Amino acid sequence: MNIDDRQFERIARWLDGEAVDLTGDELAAAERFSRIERSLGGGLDAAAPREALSRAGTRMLAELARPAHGIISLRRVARSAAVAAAAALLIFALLADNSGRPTPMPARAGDDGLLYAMAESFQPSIQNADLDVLAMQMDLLESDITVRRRASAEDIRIDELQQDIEDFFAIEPISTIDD
Amino acid sequence: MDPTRLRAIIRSAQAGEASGFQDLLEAYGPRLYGYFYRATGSHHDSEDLLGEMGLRLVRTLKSYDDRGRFEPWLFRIAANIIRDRIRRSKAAPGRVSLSFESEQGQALADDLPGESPAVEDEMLAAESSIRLQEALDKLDDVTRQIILLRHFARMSFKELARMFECPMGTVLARVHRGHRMLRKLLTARE
Repeated sequence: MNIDDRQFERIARWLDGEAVDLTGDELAAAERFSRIERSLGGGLDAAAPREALSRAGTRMLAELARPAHGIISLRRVARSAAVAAAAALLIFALLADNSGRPTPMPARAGDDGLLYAMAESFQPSIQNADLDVLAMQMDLLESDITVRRRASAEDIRIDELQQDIEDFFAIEPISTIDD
Repeated sequence: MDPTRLRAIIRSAQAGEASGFQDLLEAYGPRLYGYFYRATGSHHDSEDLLGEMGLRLVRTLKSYDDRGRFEPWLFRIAANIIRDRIRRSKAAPGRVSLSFESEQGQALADDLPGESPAVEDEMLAAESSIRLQEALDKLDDVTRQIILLRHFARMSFKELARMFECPMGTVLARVHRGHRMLRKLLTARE
């Protein structure tokens, strides 16, 4: 008997236990199919060695005994990250200022005394050593930008020359082409 | 297994009790092993895959919703393990289980006190099993999987249709063609 797709669908539903009305031929095909499945099934079975089952059981129970069953606990990761960050800050603070006193600034020619005054007046707090170090570095960066050096003799001469030029053009208007 | 007992075992395992997992392995281990063996043709691989199955069960059982059928859920995981293994190994199709032949054949020969009927029956059964495995290996992967899941997982055509994303009639047609191919291969060697 040639079975088409529609009949395969009906026979499959009947074999699944659905209430399907099969024709005589379809019913015969369904029953033949069931017989073949039953006879094949007996041959498919393969005995599982006891040792294999035992070893699989051992692996399974070992996995069960692992913390969180091997699944990474987010809480544990967050805790570990926080501890690692705090440790890094502490190490950084200790390396940057292990004496407990502010690091002396290297002397540079022409430096404004204000810069030295700022560094020397810095008083680190015991409770927030790491923050104090960061604050000091920020202050130093600011001072590099805002502190002016004391004018040298050459700077004064350039300023005077600039002023002369400005005064000259203020008194003598620039003549135009028409003149 | 009695559905009530199965539900109790699943609840126990989901609660993390070792006894629950041990009961599940005892109930389904042999069928899972048989499925893996017929899918791979190798006892070595079957044991390895059974171990992998145990690990996945521990990791994923909590996500199982007991409204559905447990066996299709369980064997769907097993089928995924097989699929992953096939992809990874890209082993030659139709691989013959030489290890089975050597293990069983050699072991039986060593135990031969004489040609007793029981031993002869065992040898015949072993030979039939090998021939069946050779024939199974010649089927395409999907047809072989469907036939094995019909038997070992006792999955309905509806469940298989959902799993393989095709109509129920197509599943039956594939099984039917698979049976014809197996019969042809098995009778051709006689």
